[in-house]
Formats: sequence, C-alpha cells, structure tokens
Amino acid sequence: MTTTVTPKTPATPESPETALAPRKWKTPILLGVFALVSLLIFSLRLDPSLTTRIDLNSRTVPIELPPLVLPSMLTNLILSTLMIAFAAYTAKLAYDRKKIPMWGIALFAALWVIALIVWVGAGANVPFVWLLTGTLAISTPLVFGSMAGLVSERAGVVNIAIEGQLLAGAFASALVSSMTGSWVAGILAALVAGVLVSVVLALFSITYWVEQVVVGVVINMIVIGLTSYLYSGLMASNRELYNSPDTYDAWPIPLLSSIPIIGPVFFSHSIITYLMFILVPLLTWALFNTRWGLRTRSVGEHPKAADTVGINVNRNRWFNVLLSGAIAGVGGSFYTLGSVGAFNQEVTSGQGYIALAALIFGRWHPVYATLAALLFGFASNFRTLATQVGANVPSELLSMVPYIVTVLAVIGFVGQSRGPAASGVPYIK
Amino acid sequence: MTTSNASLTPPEPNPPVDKGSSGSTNALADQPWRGVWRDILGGNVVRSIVAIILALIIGMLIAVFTNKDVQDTLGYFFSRPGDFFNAAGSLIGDAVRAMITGAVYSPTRGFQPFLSSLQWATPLVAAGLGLGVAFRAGLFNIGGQGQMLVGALFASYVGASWNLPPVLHLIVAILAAVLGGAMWAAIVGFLKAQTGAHEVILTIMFNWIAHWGITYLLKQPLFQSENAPGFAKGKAVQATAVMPELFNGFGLGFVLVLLAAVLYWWIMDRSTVGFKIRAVGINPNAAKTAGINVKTVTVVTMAISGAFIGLAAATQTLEVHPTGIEPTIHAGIGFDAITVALLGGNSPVGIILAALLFGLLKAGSVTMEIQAGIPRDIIPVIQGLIVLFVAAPRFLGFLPRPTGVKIRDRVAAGKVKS
Repeated sequence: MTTTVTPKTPATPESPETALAPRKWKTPILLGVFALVSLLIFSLRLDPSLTTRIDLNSRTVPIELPPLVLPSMLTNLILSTLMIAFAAYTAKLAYDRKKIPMWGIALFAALWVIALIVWVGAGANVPFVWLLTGTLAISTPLVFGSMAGLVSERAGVVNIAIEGQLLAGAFASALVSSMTGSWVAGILAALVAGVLVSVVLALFSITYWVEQVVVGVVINMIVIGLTSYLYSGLMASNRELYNSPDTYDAWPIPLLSSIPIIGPVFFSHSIITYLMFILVPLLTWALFNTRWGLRTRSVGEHPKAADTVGINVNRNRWFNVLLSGAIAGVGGSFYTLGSVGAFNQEVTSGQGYIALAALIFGRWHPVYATLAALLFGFASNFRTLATQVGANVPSELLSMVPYIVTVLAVIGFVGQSRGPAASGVPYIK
Repeated sequence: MTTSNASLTPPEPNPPVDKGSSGSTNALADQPWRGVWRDILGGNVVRSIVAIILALIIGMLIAVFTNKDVQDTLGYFFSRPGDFFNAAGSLIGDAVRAMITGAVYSPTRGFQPFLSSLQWATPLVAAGLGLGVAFRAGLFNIGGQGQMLVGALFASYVGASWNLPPVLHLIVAILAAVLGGAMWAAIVGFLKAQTGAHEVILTIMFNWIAHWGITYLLKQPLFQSENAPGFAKGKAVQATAVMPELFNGFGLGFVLVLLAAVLYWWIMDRSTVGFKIRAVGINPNAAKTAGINVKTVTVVTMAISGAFIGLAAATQTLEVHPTGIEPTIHAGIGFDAITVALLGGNSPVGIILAALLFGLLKAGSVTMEIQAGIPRDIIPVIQGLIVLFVAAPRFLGFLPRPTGVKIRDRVAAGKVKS
C-alpha cells in the first residue's frame, strides 16, 4: 500500500540544503496575522466618512497646537499596507534564514498601535497627550515591580511575591504617611515593608530551601490577608488618622515641562516616576558593568561555578532579594501616595503578576522589561480611553489583549524567553 | 522561571535520612522498634499539627495586638499587667467561642454550622485534588481561577439553556463544568509541551484572559441573566440542574467531591496514567528514557487537574450560586486549593482533611467577625502560615528527624525476630 503513495518528502531543489538551520516562520506569520487584523478590522470595517481627531494639547502647556484630524479609513489603509509590506519583508528574511531586526518589529508594533488608536477614535477625539502621560503613570509601579523581579531572578530566586511586596509598600506608605503627614516617611515605610516581605521570601526560599514559587504564592496570600485585615480592623475605623495620606505632588520641571507633547509626557510627574527614570538606566548599567552585576548574573546562571571562584552565593541572593523588596516597596507606594490617596483592600489587584509577566516578556533585561511594562500600562490606559469615547469594541476584549500578547511572547513568537539558568533552584552546598 | 520539572514538586517533607541511626537491616531485626518515637514526632502528621498550632498562635497574637481594647490596656501595661491579660484572654475566648459556634456546633442551631463548614470545604476538596494531580507531575497550576471560570460558564450555559430530564440535566451540567475546566487547563499543558513555556506564567495569563473573556460573555444575550441588564451575571440555572439538598443544607456536592477523591486515588495510585504522571514528576528525564511521552503526559496532567477544578466550579455554579454566576464565582478557590494540596501532601485523605480544616476556618471566621470583631481576613494569613511551615521542614528544626524506616518494615522485622 505505502509504496503506491507518493513520497511524503519529494525531492525538491532545497533538499541539499537540509544541513542548514530550519527556517523560522513564527515571526512572519504573527506579523502577518496582526497586519491582516489591521486591514480587515481596523480599516475596512470603518465608515469612510469618519475622521479621527487627535488632540495634542495639554492643560499644563501654554502653547496651543492644532489638532491632528485624520481620515480614519484612509490612514489605516495606508498603515495596513505598510504593515503588510513589512510582514512580507520579514517572510523574505525568514526564507533567506536572516535575522529579523528588532527595530523593525518595534516599528511594526508602533504602526499597529497607531492604527488601533485611529480605529477606536474614529469619529471621536483622542486626547493623545493624556493617553501617553497616563500610560507612564500607570506603568510606574509595574516597572518598579519588574525591576524587583529582575534583581531577584537574576540572582536565581524566582520572585512571585512581587504582588505582596507592592501591596505591603502601598499599605505601609499609606499608614505611615497618614500618621506622620509626610510622604517622605511614607516612601521610607514602603521601602521597609517591602524589605520585610523579602525577608520572609529569602528566609524560606534561600535558607529553608522551600520551593520558591510556593513561597511566593503563599506570601502574596499572607500579605493580602494581613493588609485587608489591618485595613478593616484599623484603617476603616479611623480614616482621619490612619488612611488619609499625604500624597506626592507633581513636580513639573521648569522649562522642560512646557515643551508641547514631550513636556507633559516626561517632565511633569511626581518624584516616583522620576525615580523610575533613574532606576532603570542605573540597574541596566549596574547589572552589566559592576562587580555586583557580574556576581548576580553568575550566581543566577551557575551558582556552583560562582561558589568555586569564591562568591558567597547565598549572601548575594539574600542581598538581591532584600534589594528587590526595597524596589518593589517603593513602587508600591505609588498605589496610595501617587494616585487614589488612600489604601484599599487589594489595591494592587494582581498588578504584581503583570510586572512578573513584563519581566519575562522583556527577557529579564531591564530595558526590555520596562518597555513591556509600558505596553501593559498603555493597554490599561487605552481601555479607559475606549470606554470614554464609546468605542464599538467592548473594553473587556481590549483588556484581554496584553495577556494574549504575553502568551504569544512566552510561547516563543518573539524569540525564546529564557530566564537565568539557576532561577528557582536553591543552592545547597 | 525555567526551573526543571522535578524541582517544582513540593519539597519532600522528610530531610535526608540520617545514615547512622537508620541502621542496616540487621540492626532493624535486632531492635525493630528503635527510634519509632522519632518517626512519630518527626512524621508528617505531627509536623502538620505543629504547623497548624503555630500558625493559629501567630494569628491570635496578630488579633490580640491589633485589637483596640487590648491596645488600651497596653498603655498602662507596667502598672497593671493583669488588665492586658484579661483583655487578651477575653478576646481569644470570644474568638474561639465564635469560631466553634460558627463552624461546628451552636446551642441554637445544633450541628447546622458543621454542615456549612462542609459546604465551604466542598470546592476546596475538588480544586485541591486538581492541584494535587499537577503537583504530582511537577507542574504548578496557578490557573485554578481561570479554569473555574470556564467550567462555571459551561455549567451555567448547560444548566440554564438546555432542556433535559431532571437527573440527566444535572449530570450533563456537571460534566460540562468538568470539560470546561479540563479544556482551559489542557491549552496551557499543550502550549507548555509544545514550546517549553513556563506553566506558572501561562496559567496566570490564562486567568486574566478567562476573567475578561467571561466578563464579556456574561454580558452577551446567550449567557446574560434577563434580570441584570448591563451587569456581567449569568442566567439562573434551571431547577432540574440544581444540585439537590440531601438534608438540612447538606448538598450533593460534598458527596461528589468525596467520590472525586476516590477517583483521584484510583487515577494516581492504580492507573497507568497516574503511574506515568508520578514518574514524570519524580524525574522527567528518566521517564522519557523509560519510553514515557512527557509531552503527552503534561497535556493529560493539566487536563485532569483542570477537570477536578471544573468540578469545584460545578459545585459553585449548581449548588452555591444557582441564581446565576458572576465573574467572582471562583472566590479565590483556585489559590486556596494550592494551600490545600500542599498541606494535604497531595494524598486524597490529606486533601480532604486540609480542605475540611480550611472550611472550618472559613465558616467560623464569619461568626468570629460578627461576634468577636476580628475581621475574617485573618484566615488567609493563618492559612498561608500553615503552608509555609509545612513546606519548610528545616523551619521546624526542633522536631526530631524521622529515621526513614517504614512501619511496615518494622512490623515485618519484629515478626522475623519473634
């Protein structure tokens, strides 16, 4: 029977090339799908008469800019064409077994997001500056969370407890800031609270060798329980004393903050966002250029080798986990001192897990992780926008997008995301 | 995040066997019962009990020191310390009394509270079994929330929109929930098997996708209740698909999850699938060498795990909230189940007992909040501490190390001697 069937692999001109690496079609396929979504949904389903009005003004900027009025359908058709062209180009690169440039994918993503904005804002006004400013604000605690995960996981300790660290920071800063009337004390308290959570994480995962994911999940549970308990037992009974914190003020940087678009987006934030602007480059530099960074990475990749050359593995891990708590704690203060101005039960609402996702999405690199966190922040802010302009797409479905994108990233569409080799494994001499 | 599979299993509670004292088989034959007290004191049961007591003490201390009446007495502690102990004692007394009347027996309602504890424990047993399956294979399924949501949606749809004869309708609705949970988990298993992506991050993402997806779907006419326009609320389940009450608030659900525990035992200890799951959990590379298809086992494990969690969704949908599901139907059970499975040591009896303990705590905490003024949020703290202490054998270092000799061997050695 089988002999009559044509051979499954007919001799093709390529067959001599079988020694070469297989072609990687994942990225072109993914880009193609996104480009088609842009063409079929964002472009062709629009009413040709609609326009998207993009408002570039902000209340803080004295200079008035004229709004950008784009014909929605035409703009998206052009953008979609560009995207399809780029997807085809990546297919060509994949066929030639060439590497697809990262900047190209970034550009593609930017085009896709613009098309999305134009589509959702068709027939409405898009407050563009507000969208970006809000993105940065929402992303701030996420970036802190991701950086917390980074310093811990680079040293080989999986940090699922980011959520708990953020929440502890949020709670402690609200409590202390309310009692002392000073946000500086609030930030310091947040830092201490984050470190305390980290002590538990470090103690059980490094010293007692408990499965790190389990410790993280349990710590989150304990911190959620404890803060909710203290909230209903302590804060709720005396709001004035315990839960009316002194919030951060926005510190617009003189001159720079009055530049149109750029000013409000980057230079009129509160101290915590400026801290983020310092933290990310600092960590990037420290991780790859200092003794601490080299030790951290070696402990995370191959603790035994690090130990052999005289690095104290568990001391380095302890230090990094405590540092992680300090970073996340400070970031957590944003939830109370930076926005609402009061603590509420589970105010972080799973954002710690999103920070973790951003870290993995960003392949354990400070800059990429920050970009991923910004993506999540943007998605969150964009959902608010979509609800406000009454877009014809349900906000629930928009909310799903960043998670789906993360899944796609994690399963390797944007290249394999591989963490530090020894992450999650306790070092037992 | 790229831990090997084997390291994701909960750590073995027994520390490495102390070679010197476990002795050779000869020593065992001479003195078969030597060191047996160490096995008892260092064994899992005592360890769990110590962990529970320790966690309860910490919980009480937190409650005492955050209580306003007690704090007032602390102001003049050194002049009249008796007041502090009186206040603390009366608070603890109130709390314990409230816990017992809420969870076990109350003079006015008889053993009704105990039945409500069983009600609380029901989904925890089912979901705990689901987590247990995954743990045995070295997988960490934090996706209980999403799997419950999908299961609940399926059960709610079948229960509300299909018209079937009484008993059959209930069975089909339960199976729909089981299928929904299994399906949602199997997707994660498939993605992990195919791409090597970590299941922890995948399940977290799938929880959120399920959350928003179900919030959206529950607003669609196919699923949405007619009485709640604009809200994400499912249709009420038809009377034919509601789990019957067997007596006085004790529903069919608890019986079902006990049967599920038997099934769990059979799957894990008697079936080929269970053998493969355990083999992969102990050492995936060895299992692969032995000819087990690790990828298939990963998918199957996740599917079975999700199926048990789907059963938890079924009891929630068809027994607790038959008037219509909401996106909060999972009620944190997916996460609680992690602690149940860890405390129960992944054994069916252990999981039932652990779920029962947490059920008692949950039921009792409701009355504790009302009568003693201690917010019920203290319960997850106690729950978490228990698991932390159980999972860290080195933390309870004062307990003796077990000798590692099985009771069965001791009995056999004793018989040979006599």
